[in-house]
Amino acid sequence: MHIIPPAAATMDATARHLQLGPRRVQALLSASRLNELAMLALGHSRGTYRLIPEVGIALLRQFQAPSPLHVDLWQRAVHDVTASSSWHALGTALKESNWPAAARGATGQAGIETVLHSPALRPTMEELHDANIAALQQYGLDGYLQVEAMQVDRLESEEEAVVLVGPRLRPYLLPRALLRIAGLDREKAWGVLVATRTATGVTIDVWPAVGMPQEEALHDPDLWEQRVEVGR
Amino acid sequence: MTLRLHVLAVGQADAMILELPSGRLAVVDFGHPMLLDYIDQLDPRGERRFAFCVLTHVHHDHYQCLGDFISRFDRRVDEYWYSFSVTHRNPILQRFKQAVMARGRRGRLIIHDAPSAVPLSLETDVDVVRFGPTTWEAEHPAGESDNVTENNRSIVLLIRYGRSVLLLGADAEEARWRRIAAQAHSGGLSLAADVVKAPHHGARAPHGLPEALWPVVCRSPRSHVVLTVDRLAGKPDQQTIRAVRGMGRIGCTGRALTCRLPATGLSGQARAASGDPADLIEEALRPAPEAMVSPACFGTQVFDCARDGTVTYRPGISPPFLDACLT
Repeated sequence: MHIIPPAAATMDATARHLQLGPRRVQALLSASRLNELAMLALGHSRGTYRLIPEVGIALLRQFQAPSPLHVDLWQRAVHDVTASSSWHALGTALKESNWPAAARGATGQAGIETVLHSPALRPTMEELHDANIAALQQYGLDGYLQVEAMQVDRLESEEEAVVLVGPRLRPYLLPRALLRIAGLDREKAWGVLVATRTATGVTIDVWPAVGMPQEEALHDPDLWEQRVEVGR
Repeated sequence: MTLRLHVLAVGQADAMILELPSGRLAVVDFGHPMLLDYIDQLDPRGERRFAFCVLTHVHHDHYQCLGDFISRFDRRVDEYWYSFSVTHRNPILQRFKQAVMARGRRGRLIIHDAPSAVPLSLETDVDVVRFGPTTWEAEHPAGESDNVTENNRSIVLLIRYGRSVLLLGADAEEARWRRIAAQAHSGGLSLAADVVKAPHHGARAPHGLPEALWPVVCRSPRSHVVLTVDRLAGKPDQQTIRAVRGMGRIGCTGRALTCRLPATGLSGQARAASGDPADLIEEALRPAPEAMVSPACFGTQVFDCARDGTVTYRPGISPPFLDACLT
């Protein structure tokens, strides 16, 4: 189970995942001085989007906490990530002229999310994820953030789902409300869990997986060939 | 000679073993690693073959130890039956695919489009009716619409040895049961059983067996109904217990309030020794029901089914538990 974490997101998507209004996210961005670090203009028709890497999400989580943990270190980690070559490569890929065919015709945020989740951008996102992890390790923050691939196994009740986490497929109960935010409230959907330790405890965010090839959801021809009708 | 069914006490998960009259084994679902130890106890010399192994559907509480089972016992398995065709890059399902493909035509994706059901003879006096999903259900991803759920892709088994009948309901829900009842009727088969593994851990309709079908699947008030339950997860449903009472005798393999162990199966000390970093996800989330193992399970249920229809069993639960469920 190897899925590339989100690594980047639009501001609106960030607000959804943090379960905050866009204004509150704006305020947090200003407070965290992420504004100048993570802005990408995509033209008047599509507006301006701030892209927040996963370390930025953790930083916003820290800003929300009553007693933030190591905010200055989180700031420096974010700075390193946005200065990385993979971040710049992502920005280039997000220029409209470079969008893959699947994303053209989509508008605004939906278009950007289509690009972020496209297989074409998977290598860049993978590099960016590596840059994120390296920055966290460099500043000793890796114990405050955990990122794992996740698959929704089953919808256990109206409120909870069982998700399988990481390469060992560890099963956990997750509130379905978190899955709805990420558009993953269905069986066998792929996603990414981001757990952040703040002064008030551990917070979980759920993101759609990036770069999942379309054929993953198609029949395996070998298994399909083995079918047998057992009735008459 | 008897047909013996072991329903393992693994909480809200399914793991069952059949001992066929010939001495061969069969496995229905792989919901907990306890299954592997249990097989070792049944067959300490590792000589017995598995006539068939069924993965009823791809929910983790039914395939948790499938990969380990294949690693240890695959060479002795004659047939695999399953109901999925997308592995979703799941390493356990991909391992299962390898084992299936190595079986050639003895690894079968069960499809049941026909309006009626047909028994398959396993050995002398033993046959099994397999109720499977339709092609349409097997083709469409679970969750794509309300009409397709992984539970309703379950393979349901009706096993007969002489006059003894077992009905293993997997996690089939109401919609599937209505079709199963029609297919059985059309095929001239009765669903009335001496031992019923309650569908979907004892959930009520629409997520389990419709109340009106309990009198159909319980042959007599002496029938045994087994609930593989997790009290903390709200199963068995109180309505199910009420429906079953009077129809059959209830046995549970589940547990009441119990200790919680890490979903990884490692104690905190062992994990620290393994060098894993702090696990924030484990700290923040509760383990799924199948990951919570208790030494205080109510006990595995064993049923000895004779050819003349006599069924003897070892009860694993005392009535006060059921009364507690009804409060």
